[in-house]
Amino acid sequence: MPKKKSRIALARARQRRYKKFVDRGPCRFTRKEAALRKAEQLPAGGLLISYKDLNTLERLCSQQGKLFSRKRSGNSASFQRQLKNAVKQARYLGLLPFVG
Amino acid sequence: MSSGPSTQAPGEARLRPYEAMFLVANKEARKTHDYLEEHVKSLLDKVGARPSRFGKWEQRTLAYEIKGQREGIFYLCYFEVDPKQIAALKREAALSELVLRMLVLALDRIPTEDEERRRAASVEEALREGEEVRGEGGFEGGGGGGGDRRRGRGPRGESGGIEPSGAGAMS
Repeated sequence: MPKKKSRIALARARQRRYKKFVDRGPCRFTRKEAALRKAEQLPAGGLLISYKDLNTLERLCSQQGKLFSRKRSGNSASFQRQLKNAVKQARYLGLLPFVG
Repeated sequence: MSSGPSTQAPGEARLRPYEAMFLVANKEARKTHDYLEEHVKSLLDKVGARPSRFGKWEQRTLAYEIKGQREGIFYLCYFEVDPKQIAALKREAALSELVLRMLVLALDRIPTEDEERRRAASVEEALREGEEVRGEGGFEGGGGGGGDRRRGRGPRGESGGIEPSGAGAMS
């Protein structure tokens, strides 16, 4: 019978597995926002994600219409929150499914 | 808030910018497209809104059936109105048989068409650049329907199902 791994060893193994999903620098939207700010093209309220950006929302949702986790998409908390609200608004309007 | 004395001069309501998306039934639209537009505009007129931009946004198949309709026309409108009238607008929309859904969002200010286009392009670009930088193709398969939830019968931590192994086969 194989030796049972300790919880710490399992956690480390999990960390290694998720490393490629986690260590990816800042969020793509944060990066874009910074680039726009540098070019002085950022609107006053910052870069905002709307329910009308359907292509973006669809790409960040699974086939079932569930928003990908931050761990998976690498989004920052604030943009994940924006996406969450946008997805919910799009669902209400019948643009995205509630269930896939 | 509501009990405090109003600083507003009587008879002069403070207007606030809003964005509204109306989903209108397509069944009737085939015959009377102009009529629908007029209908939505009349809803705004009833509550004394001042539309600054109004137009058809898109006509598309709905993700799910709403009031027996599978298709709908979306009208996007930017307007200014007294915030107290929003409840009345929602009531009017709910009573209307043609309007299937309405979403009203309060804005800081009404964006110009150019600003809106640039914003949408920036978001789209960010998404594309993100995929190029990451280069993992992690957004293609849809996670095999489970996202990062643990799957399988293996011991805890051994069966982390984050790789969409069966995702390619599904599509």
